[in-house]
Amino acid sequence: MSTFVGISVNGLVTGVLFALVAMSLILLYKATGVVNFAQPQAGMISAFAAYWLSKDMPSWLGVLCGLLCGGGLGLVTYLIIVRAKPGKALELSLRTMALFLLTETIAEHFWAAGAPYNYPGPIPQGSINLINYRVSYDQLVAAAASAIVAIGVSLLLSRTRIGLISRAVAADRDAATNLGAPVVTVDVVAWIVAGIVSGVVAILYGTMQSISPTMMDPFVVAGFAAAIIAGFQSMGIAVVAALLLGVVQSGTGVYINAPIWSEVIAFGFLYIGLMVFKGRTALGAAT
Amino acid sequence: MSSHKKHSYALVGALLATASVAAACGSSGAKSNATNQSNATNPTTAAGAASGSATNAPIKIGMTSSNTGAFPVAGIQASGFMQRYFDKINSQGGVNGHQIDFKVLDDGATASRATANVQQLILQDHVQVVTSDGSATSVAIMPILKQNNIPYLFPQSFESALINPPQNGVYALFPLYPQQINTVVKYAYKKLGAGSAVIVRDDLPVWDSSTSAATQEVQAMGGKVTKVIQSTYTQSDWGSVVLQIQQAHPDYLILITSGPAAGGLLKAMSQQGVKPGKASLGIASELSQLTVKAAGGIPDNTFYGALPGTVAPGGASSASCQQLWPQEPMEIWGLEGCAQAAAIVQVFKDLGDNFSASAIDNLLNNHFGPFKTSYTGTFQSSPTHLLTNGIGIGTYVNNAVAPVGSGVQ
Repeated sequence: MSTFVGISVNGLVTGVLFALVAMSLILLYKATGVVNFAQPQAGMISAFAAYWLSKDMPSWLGVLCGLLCGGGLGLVTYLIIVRAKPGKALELSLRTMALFLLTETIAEHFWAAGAPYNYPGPIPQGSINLINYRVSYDQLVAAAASAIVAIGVSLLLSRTRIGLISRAVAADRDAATNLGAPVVTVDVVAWIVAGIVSGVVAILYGTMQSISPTMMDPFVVAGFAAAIIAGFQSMGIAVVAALLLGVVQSGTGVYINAPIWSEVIAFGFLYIGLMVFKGRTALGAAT
Repeated sequence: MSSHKKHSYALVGALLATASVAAACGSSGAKSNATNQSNATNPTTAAGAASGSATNAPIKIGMTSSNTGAFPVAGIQASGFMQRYFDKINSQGGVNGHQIDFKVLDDGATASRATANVQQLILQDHVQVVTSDGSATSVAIMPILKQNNIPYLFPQSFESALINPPQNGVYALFPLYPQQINTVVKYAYKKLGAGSAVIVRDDLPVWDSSTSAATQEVQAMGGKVTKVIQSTYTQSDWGSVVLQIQQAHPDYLILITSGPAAGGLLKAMSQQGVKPGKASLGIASELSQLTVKAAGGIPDNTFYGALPGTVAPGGASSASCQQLWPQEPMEIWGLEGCAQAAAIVQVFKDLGDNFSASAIDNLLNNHFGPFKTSYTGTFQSSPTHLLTNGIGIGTYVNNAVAPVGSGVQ
């Protein structure tokens, strides 16, 4: 029983981070139509920024600056990927993949030698006991942050003017532009928010494990799998898929004892998302 | 949904698949033995390069090193400290009047690039000997070196396949991983008594022999390995590994992986309050500040088998190596780099002006040493082609390495 609880809790904690990645991808896609492959890398750089800055300032301030860095990177990515030479969403998505590879290569060149970096972060050490499985404070914060971000992004999209405009832009970008909607503002907000959310993921993961140039690699496939299962539309489905993926991976880690299967399962989810669930979303049922 | 969006999904999937395949190819390159070796190499050219030794001609040493990739610090320190060691020798007049020309090529920790590097070193740079860093790549380049009759001296690798079976042209300097883990198992079981053990190992094939050796040694010492848990260098979820250790409740935990990975596991175990009944045991690659950083602190009763010099980092042996590159906080790989370089220099001192492969074989098989360096202990010619057999046992005291014993395999 305690092992099952341990697997579930451990998987859910991993899953909430997958969910955050998926939500940030969906947010940007819904607002701009761009699938940003480089998004996890913005998070990685945010984590490094928080790590370095925390050496010279209070840890919480370092985190804040790291998150601002994530938002700034989102903006910079928008400027160099979209504004520098506008193109179709698909073309822009391809450019982000190039940016992903470029960013990771540069980060490895400069930071890999000292990796991994131990980053205690501002969250105090300690844990609570949940049916014989200890859940650390940083894992609890990760779960809370996931819930807050999920609710915040949902409210942003459903209850604010910018959210309304973003939905209009997502529905028909050209029409929204012709009607005078502030498309650029929507784009900028979406890129910045997505960058900040990526920063949240990386900083939380960094405090739980450590920081390195490749720290976000496990989240790329898993985050995309959850987002695709949700058809890049439904935050709720993405969260459920991400949590399920986390638990399944945790369970296979214990019962199958072969790390390769974690990857296989993530790809399996991705495949299912591409081949099965996109149809539902295409019909609008899941949005 | 529009057909445009459907096409977008298809392309997104294709892109992800492409990226994943590319990544998989990159990592699997390190795992695989280089199967597409060197059809283009020219043995005549290479052999000619190896035997030449005109008066005062430089000694050409080539190295393929994993300065980027999964674990770059090892390659950066190995090649960096070697370079500085050779620079120092050159500034003192070289070896028997010959300057050392040392060329390092980065292989990114992939077997295919390591093989290409060695081709370049042989065919373009006409090196006389080759050395390397990185366990998986070190074995992958052996066929091309053998094909071209280029001596392979003292790679910074602990892989059994280097010298099992022993063959001319290939000589290991450092005690191999199976010997390291055997020595530390023997030390701990003698000190703390027999008991059950769980092995946590990286899933790369390079660790198979160490896992088998540890299992056999535990049995020989009256214990039993109750579980072998697979992990990866880039493990993101240590929780599932900790749960398995918790279930097994072993007396000993044997870690056969990299320093950062071992540190990640120790951190997760500490968080869950899980620890082995008696001790954690590890290998040289975990005796690193990277382990300490990743773990946030090393628990008591953690022992490692490693080179004698590396378990006494505050001693004179490591100090003289650190002085070569004061700006770089020296880790075990830097010290091993100094040891590699010192041993190679000793070889060329003994060779005189004949750098041929046969002369190197004759020397290292029959007439080398015994020498004692501060880095390695004693090394000498050996029918097993392993030139040192001393192994130090280290532990951490207040997160600093301290020697606690030694062994000979």
